[in-house]
Amino acid sequence: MDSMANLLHGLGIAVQPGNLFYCFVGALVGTLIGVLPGIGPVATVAMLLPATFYLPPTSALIMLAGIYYGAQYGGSTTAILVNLPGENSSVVTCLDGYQMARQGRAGPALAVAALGSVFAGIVATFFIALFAPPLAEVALAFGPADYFSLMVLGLVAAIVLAQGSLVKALAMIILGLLLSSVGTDVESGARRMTFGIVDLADGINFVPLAMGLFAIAEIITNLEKPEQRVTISGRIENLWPTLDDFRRAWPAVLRGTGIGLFLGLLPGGGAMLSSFVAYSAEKRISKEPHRFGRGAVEGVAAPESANNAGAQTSFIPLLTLGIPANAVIALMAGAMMIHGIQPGPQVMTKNPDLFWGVIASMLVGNIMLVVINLPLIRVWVALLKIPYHLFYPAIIVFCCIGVYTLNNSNFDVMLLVLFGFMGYLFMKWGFEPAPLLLSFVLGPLMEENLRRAMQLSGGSASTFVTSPISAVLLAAALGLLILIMLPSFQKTRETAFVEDR
Amino acid sequence: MLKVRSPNDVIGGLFLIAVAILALWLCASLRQGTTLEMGPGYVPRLLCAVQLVFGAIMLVQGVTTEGPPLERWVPRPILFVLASVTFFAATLEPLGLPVAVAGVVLISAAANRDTKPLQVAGMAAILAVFSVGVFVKGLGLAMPVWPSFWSL
Repeated sequence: MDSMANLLHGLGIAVQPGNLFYCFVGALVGTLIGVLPGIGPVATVAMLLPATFYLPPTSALIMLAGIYYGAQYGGSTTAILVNLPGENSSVVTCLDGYQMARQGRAGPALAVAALGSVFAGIVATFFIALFAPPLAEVALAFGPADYFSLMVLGLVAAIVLAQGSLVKALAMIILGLLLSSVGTDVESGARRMTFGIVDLADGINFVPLAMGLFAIAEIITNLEKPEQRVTISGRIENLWPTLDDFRRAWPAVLRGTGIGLFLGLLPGGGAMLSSFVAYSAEKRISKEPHRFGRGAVEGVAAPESANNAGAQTSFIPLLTLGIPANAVIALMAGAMMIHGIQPGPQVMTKNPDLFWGVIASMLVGNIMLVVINLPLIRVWVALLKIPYHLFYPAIIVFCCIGVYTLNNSNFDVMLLVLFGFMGYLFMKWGFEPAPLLLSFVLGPLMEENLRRAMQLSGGSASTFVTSPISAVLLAAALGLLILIMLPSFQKTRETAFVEDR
Repeated sequence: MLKVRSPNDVIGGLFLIAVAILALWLCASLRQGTTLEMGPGYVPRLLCAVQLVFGAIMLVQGVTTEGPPLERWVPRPILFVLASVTFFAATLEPLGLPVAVAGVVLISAAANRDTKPLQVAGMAAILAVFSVGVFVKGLGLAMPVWPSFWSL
């Protein structure tokens, strides 16, 4: 079957009233949390995970996906109007977007960001439809050893592109794997590391772990700093960009989209990395680099297109290989597993409605987002004025209710306390919690495949290098690790994030 | 005498080592098995061993490389945010959802100094009503609304 026919089939699923509604909810919530600084997509998706149990899996994923790419739209609004990144992926949009707003051109900046995003979103949807199926077919041929090595590569690649210390990130991966091994061992039925607590027999619940590390820890650290006063710069009078803006912006949108498409694919990539790289690339190739930081429209167009494209293509590794590329996608993997769907190459064949429905919903969602964002911009501006201290208690309430209702268990709520504190410690000590979440999701699969591979090979670890696919994947992982330890690479890795801040 | 140059690395390393030792102790009774037929203890022990190595590397890093000083803890938000979640766990079943939710709002609002008492009371009331209306009546989630002694 051909991709476009499948996409049309998916579109048929995405426009079913129920799915359309959840797509809209996702886009709306995404925009909302994108606009509000202090709450990001990871915390929101974690918070809404329990609610998705009551939905059909396709609707649930459509909604969660909408939150992720919707947040990219909302994030730019805050960046442009108040010089605060609503999301990490909008950090670079502040540079030129806010300057445009100060020059009285907030409207055009918002419009360029939204139009660039919708363009990138549509291109990314077709990109996924074209490239996901062949990738999934490759992965279907993988044996246990290959699959294990693929997951190793995914985890290693995820930390290479992340910020911070390599050793700490690797340690977080191990810690995540260790946490995932708590509970009943599938093969022997033995209870592992449960402290004799019955509630731990099924293992540590994914939801309190994610919510604690991200939502609760984030609230605590946000409250440490004095609340930032929001001052909105410039009135929004005219939304339409000038012809000159269009002329400058469209090549930047194209380049940004291209960069986002590929960086989103990489484990550890996604929206944030895409926007940083797109901005510095744009500045580097510009004939007038001095205009950047002073309200250059390209400096808004490129990163905003890139982050949206990257947010969407980061679904490809999840849907085709079962490898979550970043923390939000890891949560989606969790959502799929809760519904009994194992993320991986078999999703496309076993759950084609889900696969194509989710992809096609991105098309619908992006168009909705332009409508939600541009004409309603004044509503979002009004929301920006809600101070943080008036909404964080609500976040805590929803987290508590969400965690409790998973299993009607007080124990899970206490896990939320534990992991909230742990997340806080990690932030203080400079550990990134994202790798932990990724490996926690992959842990059970890795162990299963490791054991199976070893059984098949008669107990010899050489199977990981004698199988050609596995050997290549492991070599790639090793290569990445060596690369990242090279001093010259470390420097570029640092500057990729620090530059232009 | 070793001098701590990067306290974050030292404390992180100690944390990793402590967790690994705890996990090893918890796994002590689990069968190890062989590479061919791995027992339940095989993979966790392997992970602990790797984590001990990473912990040690971080300790070494902590005394050989310069790093930023430890960040200060601010006790107020830690205490009140975590206490509010604990309150929810402790009170939901005996006292019901509205009490638990109102308690979470009242306690967590104490984590910052900006919220005014009237705002807190308003938020507590609104969220308590909203939670019952949406989660219990609307979505039909199984959570007690009234204190358990009422039905006695």
